[in-house]
Amino acid sequence: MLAVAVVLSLIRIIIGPTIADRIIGLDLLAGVVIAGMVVSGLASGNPFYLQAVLGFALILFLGTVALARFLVHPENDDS
Amino acid sequence: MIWLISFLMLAGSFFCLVSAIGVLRMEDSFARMHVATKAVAFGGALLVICQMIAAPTLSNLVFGFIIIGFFYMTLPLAAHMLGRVVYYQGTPPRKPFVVDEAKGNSNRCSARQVGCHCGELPLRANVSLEWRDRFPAAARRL
Repeated sequence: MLAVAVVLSLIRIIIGPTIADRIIGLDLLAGVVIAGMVVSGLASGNPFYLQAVLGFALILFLGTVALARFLVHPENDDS
Repeated sequence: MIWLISFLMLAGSFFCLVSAIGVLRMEDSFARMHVATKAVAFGGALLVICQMIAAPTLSNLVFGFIIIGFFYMTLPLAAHMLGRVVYYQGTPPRKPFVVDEAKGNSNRCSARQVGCHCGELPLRANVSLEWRDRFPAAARRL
């Protein structure tokens, strides 16, 4: 199910009509990858996967907000 | 116990799949942005709860609660910023807006792009890209 979700979000990233749709697709892809990391950690029994998941969630939020602000203020990239 | 863990894992994966199907099938950027964040947050939270039940050590519990709280704090925020982007870029909604409180809110609209919903004319042609015009105080100090 997670693999199907990854494929569907990739389709949305490819066919997305606007840049915002592609950002939404990237957001969804990162969320599904985070879910896959949790499942992988559950399958292997390694307790350090959750810390990696926390770092990945931080980077997901930061990347989405940075892309959104870049789209709203495209001319303020020097300040 | 193994049935509960399996059920939570399947439910979390199912909600991630629902989110992906929604993002592919929705006709509107606003609806896509809505479904891409809420369902993924719920599915990820279910999977983390499943991990916390399967191995309830102290580290897992602490990190699990931190991750769930972080999901529910940051994903709606990201959705809000994406919604602002979609609105100020002038993406047409599938139906007309029922309530449009940001209409005429042109001092917040810094994009000023053609077709923006805020109703202002695009000012992109009038905005100078020269930094002395945009920061006159700093230019006077030099």
